[in-house]
Amino acid sequence: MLNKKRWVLLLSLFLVFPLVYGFGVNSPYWETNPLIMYPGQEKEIQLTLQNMVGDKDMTLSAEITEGKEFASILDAGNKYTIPFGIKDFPVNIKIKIPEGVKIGDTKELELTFTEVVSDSGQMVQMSGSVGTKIPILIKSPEEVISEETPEIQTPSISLIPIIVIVLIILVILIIYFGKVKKGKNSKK
Amino acid sequence: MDKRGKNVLIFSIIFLLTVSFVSAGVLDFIRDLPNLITGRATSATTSLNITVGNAAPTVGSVVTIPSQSVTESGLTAVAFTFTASDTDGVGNLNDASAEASFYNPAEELRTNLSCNWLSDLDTTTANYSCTVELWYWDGSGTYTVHANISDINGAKGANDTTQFSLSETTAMVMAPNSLAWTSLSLTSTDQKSSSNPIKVNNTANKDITAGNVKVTAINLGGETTPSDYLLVDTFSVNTADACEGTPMVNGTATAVSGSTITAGNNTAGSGSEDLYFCVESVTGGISSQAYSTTNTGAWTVGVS
Repeated sequence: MLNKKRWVLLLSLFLVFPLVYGFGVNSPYWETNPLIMYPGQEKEIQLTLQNMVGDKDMTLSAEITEGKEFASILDAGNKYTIPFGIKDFPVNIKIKIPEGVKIGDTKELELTFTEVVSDSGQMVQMSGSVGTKIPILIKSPEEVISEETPEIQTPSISLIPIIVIVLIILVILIIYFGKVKKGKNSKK
Repeated sequence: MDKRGKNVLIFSIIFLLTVSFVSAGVLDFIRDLPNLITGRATSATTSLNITVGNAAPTVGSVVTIPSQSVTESGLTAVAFTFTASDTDGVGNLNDASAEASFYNPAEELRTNLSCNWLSDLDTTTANYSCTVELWYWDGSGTYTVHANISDINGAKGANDTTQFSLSETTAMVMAPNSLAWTSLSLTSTDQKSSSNPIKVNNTANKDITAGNVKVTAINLGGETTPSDYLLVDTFSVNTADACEGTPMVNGTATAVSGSTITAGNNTAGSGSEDLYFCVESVTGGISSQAYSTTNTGAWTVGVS
């Protein structure tokens, strides 16, 4: 009897408080941290989707809402089923900057992920969508390559004379000990 | 020994016993002799600082922390290790004082006041582990890792040379997920939805600025006569509990006028927006029947 009451209470709670679901998209590039590319450059980037709120898997459809002319989604079908509790579901994007784009220009890529919902029988069914905007700053190839290439550590200039002196001393020592050895051998 | 010799010996012993003096050496004695004769004071009050040697600890290295992202509506635990050294020996390090924090000038300081001792790497260096938690509304950008430790004498060592990047996440939670009107007739005007408001929570760290809360509405199809449509241009959405809001446009993502959702703590009432839907008037010339999104597709509330 008590169990029945508990079930009724639980059911009532579910009916009173509608289940809440949410999702999100993470981007490694944002307004103050733009993606830097040069005209003609092709690059693949990865966004990640997360489904951390609620208790169910979610299906999202992806669409490029701005920048279709230079970007495409690499994953087949553009639909993603994100299991509940996943924070880093990958979405792969290819970007190819046209040759004629001016250096110094900024292009914007926007992707929108919309929840695929089943009809609940209500007058107006609602779904949520989240979008992410990726600013792309166009620079010269030299600038892009220099920013992408990690600095190679070269010995500092002040070390060079010390190395030269050490080498000279080594050479002198080798010659000296060579002569001493030769002298000893000739005495024998 | 004659009598005179005895007297000299006794006098000398008595002299030595009664006139006690301490001198660092003969030269000091000679230097102080005038003072002894004239009676001038030979001592003065002076203050001494005696320093017992204690080397302050140093925090040597904090491991590289890869780029992080927030967890929607939750916490992200960022774990890392750092080493601390003390030339007085690891025993001199106060393990309980090891702590770390993440600093970004535009954000709240995130701190762990109780990092854990992991192991002694050698006689002077120990390894510590720390976990600092980031909240979902902590803004994207560069964070500086500050790690510090004290020794048992209270001297402190710190390191803030390591930085990491927190990327931008856009996320939302919306409830309820449907709209209904309890009474809607062909002559109805200014009918607010019985489901109002739809609460939209910003559950990540991107600020949703003006023009980036959008509603895409689709004409409602007749459930009995599918060729009849209740057009969405007679619907509006408002951030206030009122009609006369932003008119909907069929199949077009329309920015909700005046709606912004800055990232914030939803539990504390920040980072959310209430949207109110209204039927301003019912499309003329349509038949009386049930209209819904069943055959035309769901409406979308979007943030970007």
